[in-house]
Amino acid sequence: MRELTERELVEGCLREDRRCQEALYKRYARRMYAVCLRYARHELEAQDMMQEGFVRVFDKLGGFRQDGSLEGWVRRIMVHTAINQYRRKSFQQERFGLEKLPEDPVAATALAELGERELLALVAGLPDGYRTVFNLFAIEGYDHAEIASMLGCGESTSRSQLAKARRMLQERIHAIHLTTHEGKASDR
Amino acid sequence: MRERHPIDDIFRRGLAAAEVEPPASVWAGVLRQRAGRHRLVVVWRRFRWMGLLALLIGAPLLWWVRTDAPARITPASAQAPAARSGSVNAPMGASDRSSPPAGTVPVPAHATTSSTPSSSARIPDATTAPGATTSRATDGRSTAAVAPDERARPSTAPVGTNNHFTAAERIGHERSSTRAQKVPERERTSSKSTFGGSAAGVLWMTDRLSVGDAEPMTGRRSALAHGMPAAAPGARNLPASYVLPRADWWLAVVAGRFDRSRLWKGSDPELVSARTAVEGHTGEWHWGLWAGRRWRSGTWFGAGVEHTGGRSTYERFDQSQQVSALVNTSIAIFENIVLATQSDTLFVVQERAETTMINGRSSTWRVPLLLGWERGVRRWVFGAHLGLAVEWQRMRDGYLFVEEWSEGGTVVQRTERVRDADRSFGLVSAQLALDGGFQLTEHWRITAGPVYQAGLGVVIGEGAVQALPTRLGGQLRLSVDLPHRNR
Repeated sequence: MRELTERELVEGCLREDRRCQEALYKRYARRMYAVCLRYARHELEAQDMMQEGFVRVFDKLGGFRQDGSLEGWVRRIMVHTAINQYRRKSFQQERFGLEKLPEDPVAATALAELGERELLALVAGLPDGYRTVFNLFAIEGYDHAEIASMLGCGESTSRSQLAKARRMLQERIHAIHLTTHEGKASDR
Repeated sequence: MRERHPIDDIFRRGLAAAEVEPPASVWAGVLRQRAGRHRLVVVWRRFRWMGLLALLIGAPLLWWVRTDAPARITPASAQAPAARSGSVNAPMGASDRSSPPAGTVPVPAHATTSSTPSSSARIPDATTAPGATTSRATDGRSTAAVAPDERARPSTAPVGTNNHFTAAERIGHERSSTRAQKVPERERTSSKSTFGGSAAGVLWMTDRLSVGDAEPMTGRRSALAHGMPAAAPGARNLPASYVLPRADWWLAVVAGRFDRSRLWKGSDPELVSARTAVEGHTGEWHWGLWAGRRWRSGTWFGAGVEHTGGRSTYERFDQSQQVSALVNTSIAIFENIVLATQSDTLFVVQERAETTMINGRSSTWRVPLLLGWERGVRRWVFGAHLGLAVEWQRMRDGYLFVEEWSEGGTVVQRTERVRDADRSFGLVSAQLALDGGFQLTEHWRITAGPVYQAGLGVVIGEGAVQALPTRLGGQLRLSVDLPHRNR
């Protein structure tokens, strides 16, 4: 069976065709789940986010202008769902003593050794605010002004959260790097 | 300029195109959630025409019901323009208010007489007592036909008309007589019996309506405010006999916001304590419809249907220890002879710490029975009410605690997410509230106040534990008194 084009998928979904809906879901589920995992603290939250996001995708598909990429549009909805979720629980203030974190740059080799799962785990380990800002800035490519308006905070907050997120990631990667090298040294 | 950082690059490269297989339950959840929404859309599409039809029929019906009971009173001031324009059919009692210049006084066909030379209209006989004289008023603008004995007792009904007054009519009549005495030119109105056969009664009423009543009230209050006597036969545009109702039926829409906490009870004390430790306060929205009856004494009762629902975040810190033992046995053997044995036991203690955050959703249907009391101060109303309610709570989305036994005999308690679970239970709750309200119009009222609700006991329960909610919040109520029908 030939693969449906984006246009056919969209039109089928608008007709509430269950097969087209499932095909659309299957086409983007893996990538979108990775997006959700980046914004969520754990898998349960990511699943919740993904479910809500896809329901919104099917609800709002009528507003998709077919001059852009469907994947980009779906991803955008997922990101906004994640932001909404973050804003709902943003009353939980998170404070971490980050002043003592190391400033040393991380060795490139240490980063190269990390796979997708490890990177996701590192991002998931960040506090909610840091994680959201880091994802939006570093991976989605938004600037601080856009992030500030999306999250309802100031640009300076976005900058400081990004800086803290980077430092926290650096520290954790540094720890992994040290553990790995100590293990290799002991093997010899 | 956009700042660049090696960390950003490495994460972008590693995660921008990352793919992870989601569990199958997500798609099932999407389908379930959409099916629920789809049902609502289908119901709306199927019944929207019926709803609009009901609105089209119901609105005029309601209007008819509301306007039918008390007749509408047309104030004299509203009639004045017709009289000023000199209309032949201008209504009674209008010409004397506009005080037009001499010679331009409009003369209603059936109404007035004047001694002004230019006017020769006659007073109809119906209200002219024998021996009536035509006198000129002191201001020289108008005159009125007044019988000599009417100056002393102008309320005397004309011969041949309805002179069997009720007590209320007499009061109105006497008052109207007084007014007629003070301002004799006002009597220059309709000679026809309009109000119990007394033109003075009409004068009194029109006078009262025109002073400070730009928009006269209709219905019960207008009748009360103007001290209107019961209508006589042949009354036009005036309410029929009005009896102050003992009580009013009312309908209300309520909405509010609560802060909810839950007290867990059940047969499993560990589960109860785990639930209690995890749950905090939760915000809940609430709406409902009430109906009831309100008596003149201020007592009221009501019953209704309410829905309360909210989202909450639960955070649980799971910490457990797993102990495993590794036994190393060394045996020294020489020519099938065991020389020595040695066993070393190594205990490995593994600590697990995990934080789980879950969004929970719950919905509650309540059927309250309420008893209240209120007191009015001008348009403000203050009171309180209490009641009992039957509640049906349903956990729409939440968490379960799962207990597992590890090999070492340790109980591991973990949290597991459940979606669209049908865990529900029924309970009885009590409610206490204070009310402060404002009477917007004759029938509409808005009331607000703090509400406290507390669960008393679970009557139908599933599972080992059930929750008794305690809610504290505010409630807004918009109520309307249903109109009375004349009997």
